[in-house]
Amino acid sequence: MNSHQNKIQSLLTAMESRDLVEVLRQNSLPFLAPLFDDQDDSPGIRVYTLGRFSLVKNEQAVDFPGRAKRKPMDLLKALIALGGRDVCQVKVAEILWPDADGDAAHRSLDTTLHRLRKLLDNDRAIMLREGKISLSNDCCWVDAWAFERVQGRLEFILDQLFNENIDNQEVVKLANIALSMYKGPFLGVSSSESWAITYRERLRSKYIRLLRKVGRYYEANGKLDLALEAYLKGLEIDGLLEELYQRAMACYCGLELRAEALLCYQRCVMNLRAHLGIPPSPRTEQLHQQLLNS
Amino acid sequence: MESYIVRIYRQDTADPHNMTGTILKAGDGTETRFSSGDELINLLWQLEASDLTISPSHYRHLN
Repeated sequence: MNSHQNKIQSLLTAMESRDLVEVLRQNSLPFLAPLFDDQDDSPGIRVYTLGRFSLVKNEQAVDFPGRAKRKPMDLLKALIALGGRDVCQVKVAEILWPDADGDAAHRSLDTTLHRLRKLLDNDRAIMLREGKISLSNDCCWVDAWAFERVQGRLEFILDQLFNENIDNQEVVKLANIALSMYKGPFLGVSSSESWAITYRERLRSKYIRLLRKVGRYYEANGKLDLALEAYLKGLEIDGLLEELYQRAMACYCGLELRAEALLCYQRCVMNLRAHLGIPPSPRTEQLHQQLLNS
Repeated sequence: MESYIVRIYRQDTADPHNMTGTILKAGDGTETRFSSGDELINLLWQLEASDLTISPSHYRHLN
C-alpha cells in the first residue's frame, strides 16, 4: 500500500471512529479548517462576522478607518458572503463597483485584491485562479464558517438521536459552542449591503433551526432549564416565532414557574397582535387554558 | 434597487394562499405585514420587485 492509499485507509478508519478531524489535521489536508473556536489551533488571520465585523491578524485587531482600507474590507466581506471558495471574479466586481463598466470594475478589483493581500500580510490567504477567487482555510479562520461546521455536525447528531432520551456529552459540548458562536446577524445589525442578505438570512435560519432542535433534545432529556434557555435565545432573534413561545410556556410549566409561563403567553399575544395583527393559534390558546386550569 | 426579506410566520397547510407574514426592508427595517398570498403578491408588485430568492428555511429573501 502506498502512502496515498495509507492516508485514504486511515481516513476511512477515522470516519468510523469519529477521529476524522484529528487525522485530517495530521495529514495537513488543505480543505481542513478548525472545527472549534480554538485560539491555539487556528490560522493567524481570524475574521469575526457574527454580530460585527472584525479582523484579527496574529492576535492583533486590524483597524480600517480610512477609505484606502475600506474597499479591501468590503472585498473580504463579499468573499465570505458569497461562500469564500471559487467566487466568480466578475460577480465580485459587479457587487463592489456596480456603476463601473466591466474593464474599470475588473481593474478596481485587481487593485483592491492586491491591497487586501498586503493588509492580510499573506499572499496565500486569497487565491485567484481561472477567474475564481478563494479564501484559504489554511490561512483564514472565519467565525461564520466555523459556526456552520459545528451546527452541521450538531444537527447530524441530533437527527440521529431524534426521539431518543440519550444524554450525549458531545451534544452538550457542541450546543454550547454553537450557541456561543452566533453573536448576532452576519456583519452586524447596522450592515445593509444587499449582497450580504442571503447569507445573513441563511445563518439566521440555521441558528433558529438549531435552537429548536437543541431545545427539543434538552426537553427530551428532562433538562428543562437548558431547553428554556434555547427557546428564549430564539425569541431574542425573532419575537414572532409562535412555536418557541409554546415550547417556552411548556418548559416554564414543567419548572413550576406558572407566573413566567403566563407572562410568556402575554408577550406572545402582544407581539402577534402588534406585528402580524393575528391572535395566537389554537395550540397556544390550549396551552394557556391548561395553565389557567393548573 | 432596495432589498426586502419576506418572512412567513403562519400558513394554512390545506390552503397555502392563506398565510401571514412580514416584508422587511433591508437597511432601515421597515416592516409591512400581509395576511394572504394575494396580498403578498400585490405588495411585491408595488415594491417593483424583479427577483425573488428563496433561502433555505421558510424565510424568503427578495432582491
